[in-house]
Amino acid sequence: MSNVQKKELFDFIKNTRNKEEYKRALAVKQKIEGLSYRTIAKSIGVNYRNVYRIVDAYRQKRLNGIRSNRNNAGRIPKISSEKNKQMIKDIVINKSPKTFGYLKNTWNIRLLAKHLSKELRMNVSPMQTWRIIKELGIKYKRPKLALEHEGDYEEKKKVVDNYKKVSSALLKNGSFRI
Amino acid sequence: MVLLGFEDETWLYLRPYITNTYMMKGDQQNIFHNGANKKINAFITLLYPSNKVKFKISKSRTSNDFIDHLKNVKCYVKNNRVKRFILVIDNASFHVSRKTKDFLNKQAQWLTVIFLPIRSPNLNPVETRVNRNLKKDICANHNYQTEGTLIVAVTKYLKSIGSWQRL
Repeated sequence: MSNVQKKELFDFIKNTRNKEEYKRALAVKQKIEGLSYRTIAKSIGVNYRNVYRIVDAYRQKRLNGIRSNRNNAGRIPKISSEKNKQMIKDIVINKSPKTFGYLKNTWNIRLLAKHLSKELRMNVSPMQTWRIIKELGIKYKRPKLALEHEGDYEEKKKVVDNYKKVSSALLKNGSFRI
Repeated sequence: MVLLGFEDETWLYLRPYITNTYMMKGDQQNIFHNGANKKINAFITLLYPSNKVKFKISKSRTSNDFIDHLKNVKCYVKNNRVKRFILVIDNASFHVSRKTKDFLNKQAQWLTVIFLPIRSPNLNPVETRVNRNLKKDICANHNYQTEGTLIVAVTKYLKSIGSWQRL
């Protein structure tokens, strides 16, 4: 085994947060150090046959052989897929319910669930909608009321700000009297 | 046939009614308005228990406006041959004014008016079933530029609740 491969393995042991991956990498490391299969099995708490399997997997696929596959397990999500999540985010943040023909100005969970059920042709519950919205980092909070400004607002604001800056100097000169 | 109706009225403002809405974490949405704080009034009569509404939108809230609204109700009662209409109203100044009382006395043939106890909006179902939702759905977080656009939106919403059907 080359030094580069050894360093790669040691770094992997240091950085991994997965208990399963750590145990496998440790078994490979101990095998490199020259320990027997049965001793390794005892130290990491598995059967010696499993140690054979782990070392073989490492020989064939290197680090990919000892990485955990648990993240790939389970059914692929239908409603909360990445594509659907982006669509929901776009609807909630950028579009008003009025654009879809509802007589409301703001979204609520029930209305959104109803709309998504129609859009995705699946039964989307309000609870599931709430979970997706929470995962997207969307918050339910109060907007701010602001005044509409006319076209010359920025120009006039600059003029006023300039006067504010030079007001103390003008007062000293005597040309600016209150 | 005797019908029971509850009457109430509400102001609707051009200035947006601010309520919570969805936005990204860390952002705050701005809702702009042009500073105009004009308002319109909607007289709403809810037919009980079918929850259908009859309404009249006006720019003021006076005895004359209320009488106009009652005339609309009278048309319905006469056209559908209803024997008596029982109307429950609150003690607003234009409900108890001399002008309104004179008009109500003349309508005694078909109309019975019941006044709610003072300061008891909880007894009036219009407040909770119509007015609250109307403000929440139509006026919330939306800036109407003119009174006309607000009137159109309110009319559309109240019609969607369902108007009084022919009997």
